[in-house]
Amino acid sequence: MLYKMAISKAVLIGIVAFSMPIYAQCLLSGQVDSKNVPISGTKIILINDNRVVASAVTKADGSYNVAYTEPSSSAPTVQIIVEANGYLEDKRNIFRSPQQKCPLVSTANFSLLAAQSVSENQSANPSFTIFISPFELYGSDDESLATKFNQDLPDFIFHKIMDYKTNLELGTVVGDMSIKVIEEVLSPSQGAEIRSLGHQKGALAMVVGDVAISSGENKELGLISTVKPIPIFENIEINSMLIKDTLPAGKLRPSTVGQQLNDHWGKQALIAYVLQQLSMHQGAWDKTELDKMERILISVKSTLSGESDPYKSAVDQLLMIVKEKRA
Amino acid sequence: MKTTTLLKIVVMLMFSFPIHHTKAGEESACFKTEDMGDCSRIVLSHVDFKSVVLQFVDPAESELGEGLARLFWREILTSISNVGGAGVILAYDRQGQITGSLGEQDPQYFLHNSYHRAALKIAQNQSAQMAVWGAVLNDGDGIYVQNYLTLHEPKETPWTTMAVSFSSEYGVSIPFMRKQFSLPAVTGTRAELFTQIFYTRCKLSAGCPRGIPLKSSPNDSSDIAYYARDGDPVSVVDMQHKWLQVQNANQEKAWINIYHLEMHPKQVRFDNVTNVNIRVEPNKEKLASVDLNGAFKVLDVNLSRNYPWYLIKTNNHTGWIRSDLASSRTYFFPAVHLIAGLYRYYAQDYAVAIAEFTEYLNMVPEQDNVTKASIYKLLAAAEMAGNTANTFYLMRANEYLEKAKSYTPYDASVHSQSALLNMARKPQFLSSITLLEEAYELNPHDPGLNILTEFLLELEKDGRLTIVANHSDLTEAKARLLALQQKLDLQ
Repeated sequence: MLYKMAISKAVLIGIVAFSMPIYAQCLLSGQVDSKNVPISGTKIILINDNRVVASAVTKADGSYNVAYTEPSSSAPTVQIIVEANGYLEDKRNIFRSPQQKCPLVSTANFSLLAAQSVSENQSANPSFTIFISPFELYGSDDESLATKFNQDLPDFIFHKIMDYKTNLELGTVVGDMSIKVIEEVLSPSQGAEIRSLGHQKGALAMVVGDVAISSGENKELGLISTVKPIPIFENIEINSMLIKDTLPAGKLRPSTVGQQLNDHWGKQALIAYVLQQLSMHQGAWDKTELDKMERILISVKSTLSGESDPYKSAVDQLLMIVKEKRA
Repeated sequence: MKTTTLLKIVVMLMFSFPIHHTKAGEESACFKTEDMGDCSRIVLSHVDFKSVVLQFVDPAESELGEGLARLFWREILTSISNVGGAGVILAYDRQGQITGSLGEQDPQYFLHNSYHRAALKIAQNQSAQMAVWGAVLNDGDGIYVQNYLTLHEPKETPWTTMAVSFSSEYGVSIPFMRKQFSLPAVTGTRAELFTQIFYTRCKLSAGCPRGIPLKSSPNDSSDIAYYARDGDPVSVVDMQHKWLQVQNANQEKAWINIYHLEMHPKQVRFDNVTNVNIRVEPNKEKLASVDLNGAFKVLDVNLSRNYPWYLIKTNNHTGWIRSDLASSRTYFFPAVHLIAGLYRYYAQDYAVAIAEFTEYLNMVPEQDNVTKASIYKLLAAAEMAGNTANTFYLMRANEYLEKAKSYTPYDASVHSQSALLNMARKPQFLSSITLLEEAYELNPHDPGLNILTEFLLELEKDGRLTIVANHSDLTEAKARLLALQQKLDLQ
């Protein structure tokens, strides 16, 4: 069940059933800020079953409280839309599970990005850094679990990328890449914002995600990571990749996560690396550089699993470009 | 000469190093901070084929970096104990030089750059064909042993090649293997790491008249805590460098040198062994005749005979079985099967190589398509080796290559390997050319593709293309071969 919910970007699993009236009143509260500065007057709009079910405006300290009627079991998703002048819109979905009437999530904080700071498709200072937005943990008040997860995540990802690079014997061909955690908390549904922030930071890729923890005896973590490679060259960009994992919550170990987080990370990183190299290029093409890029792409391609591999098209397009530049 | 150095030499001489035909060696000076990988001497210089196991980097500060490398080293030695001309070297560091080089660097960065380079350098330095290296990391409340295998294969002496001999005059061999393998990680709490059964065995050339000495602390100069009987099972609770901390039935803890311990598999597998005797005691009366198929946990091991006996539990009986009936064993480090297979491949013991590769293949998760494909490529090469005249083996090799292709269809080297296989099956020659053309599209620099094309051009020049092609295919074959020659810019 967790897996199915994870597919629809679920954030909630609970088994505690409360005795409630037929139409329960659900509550949501939280705070809205931008770089730790509270934003007052922000509109919070709740949508369920394609209609607005409640709305509120944030106070001077950026806080809000909103009450809404329980979502029906046939339309369990409640979308929260956050709108503030001068900031990019944010959206997030919360869910009711079959066992209860209100979503387990009753607190939602938002950090908005200033709209004017973002320029579309332009990376000011392209880098070989992957930026990770801290993953939000749903379904548990255990802050230490979320903190630990967010501390360990960069290492997990770096480990997988280095593994892939070493296995392809590309240690000296591919330059250094790094991973940094940013403060801005983004959700996977904020596609435009992820891309904009990625360009602003000159990122190789942006990683955002949610972790949902199930309740009950066998706790599990439903992990959804969206990896968005940022560089664009001659209208070629790599589609976002949604990586879904289910991990035992009690064993949040590099080994468990490492086994789950497969070669996607390495493939994404190396393809983005080539794209970034191409996008940064100025002047005449250097044969040695083109040879290196071709070698990386041929090596990545040799690990793809077939025609349906999600990276096949991007690798083929890039190989074609490298061949053209060489000609 | 300093007394300590003399003592060391005496201690080294006291242990009988050779385990059957395979040689064990150690080197403690390969990790100088300024020049990591430069060893001060060559170990096992007269051994043809060897691997080097590097102490694991230990950012977790578990103090298991040397100990776990020693376990790996010993397991490799156990798995290839009857391979002549082979050896395994342990490169360890007691000076803290690895940790000093790591400094404040990111452990993964250090591991994949400086340490990986050091591994390759040590392999070159020691003329070893393989290097095992890795790191011990924190893993929640346990540890995680990340390990890698690097194949050292100089251009002039490649050894993972697939070879076909077409006549006394004409033969060709092509490289086809990746040089890097991520090996399955070993994970668990410190206590879980040592759940394997260990048995004491005297390894002093002078014998152990009073029993095996166990020390009160993990160093050579420590007092002897007590003596264990030769062949006693011991429960290991921890490890430090070459010392394992063991606990006896009275809960008394003491330290034993790893040389005095035999390591045995956690599990053994039998493949459809029928009507074998399961015995009350090793080599004693028969309990029953049983059919065995599948994996069995090893409950106990008896070393008192020429070969070990395993105590296992079947559906109806618990009794002793001869170890040589088992088809495979489970090691602490699963990658031992791959490494043992490569040793056997080099030693041309292809049947055992195939068994080891198959064992390893079964452990590789399905999503690791690249490793799966690599093992299938090895299996194909092992099946073909020495059997190119036999259609049955060629068919089997072809099946393995088709499997490899299904996992990594865009790997040019699989296509080159298939081309060579089809050349051995003469009527298939035109499909060989097609496979080479496909390999060219995937990677024009593929060494196998270039070597095979040059070989075919040489045959053509000598007017001997009929060794691999039927007369009816010659005209088309020549035309396509020349086109390939132009594309590859070969003379």
